[in-house]
Amino acid sequence: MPLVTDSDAELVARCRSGDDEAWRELVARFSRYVYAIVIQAYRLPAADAEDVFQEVFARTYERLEDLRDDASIRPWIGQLTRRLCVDHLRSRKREGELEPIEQGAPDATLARIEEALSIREGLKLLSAECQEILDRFFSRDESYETISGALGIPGGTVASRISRCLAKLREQLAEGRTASPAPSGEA
Amino acid sequence: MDAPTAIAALENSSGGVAAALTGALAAAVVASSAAAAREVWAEAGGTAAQAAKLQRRLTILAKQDAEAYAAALDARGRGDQALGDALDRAAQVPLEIAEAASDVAALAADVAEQGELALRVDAVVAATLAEAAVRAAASLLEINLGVLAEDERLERVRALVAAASRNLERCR
Repeated sequence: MPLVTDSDAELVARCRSGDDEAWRELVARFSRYVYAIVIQAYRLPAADAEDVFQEVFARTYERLEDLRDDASIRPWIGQLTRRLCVDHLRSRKREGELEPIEQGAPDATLARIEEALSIREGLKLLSAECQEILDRFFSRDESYETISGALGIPGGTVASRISRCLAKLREQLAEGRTASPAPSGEA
Repeated sequence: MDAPTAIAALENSSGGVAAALTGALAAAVVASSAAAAREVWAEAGGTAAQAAKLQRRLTILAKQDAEAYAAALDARGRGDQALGDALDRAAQVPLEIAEAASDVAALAADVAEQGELALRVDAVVAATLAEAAVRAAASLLEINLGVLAEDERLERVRALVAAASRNLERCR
């Protein structure tokens, strides 16, 4: 794994230049995102989800030249995935194979997926200490005393440190929202 | 979990559920009062977020305690070893309830120390509830461990009771 990760735009530029390794990285970087949309938001069965997954990256390969802003690859892939999911569901519905999904349900789930991914991206920009303390409290359910013992910091300061790290995360997310590009180009 | 659901969960259930939900209630009070202090306290948002997390955790622990309690009841007819194992598992959840509720008391004390009277009043209520939850969970753990009096979890939970009491005093 490289010590310095390319930005999305840098990765897309490498893909455009015909770098095979860059394509593998692109699939690895966005596969979780695509699967989350396909399975959580549109609830496609596993076999159908795999078909859509393959189609998303095949079209990305074919149409990358249509992407106007390299930095907007994530929303572009998201839009492409949603469109292919809808096409797939319409096709299955005509064949009478799938129950229609609840109106509005994908939008709510998509919003949660986007939020979770934004938080994950924001966390990566924090210091290692902040990443660890937030992970221990919010993901691993560790108590303040356990965190204090593990990180060697006074017990009475753990909650305050978590609050400061959350404030930094909020700043990162706010900056990300300001800078986040909309999808550009036909996905 | 809303209030009617919480009360319904107490029917035919264990004292651990009551302890966990009391802790969750205390966490909700902390979250609410911290959120109200955003204008005057830089760490209010972070404190509210941590309290909300502890509220969710304590609600999950209430469900886990009910499951552990049911498993212990089920083990009664399956011999001493099975019952001992089930009680041992049933003791772990109260310890986790005590840990989470003790952290709620610590957050309540942080809120109280911001100095505003309205915040302090709510913080005292929250810390009182949280301390009661820790004490209740500690009592359950002691009972569930029973003959295993040397279990290190007893010392741990007594320290949590002491910490919650200190944090309640910080609020006053």
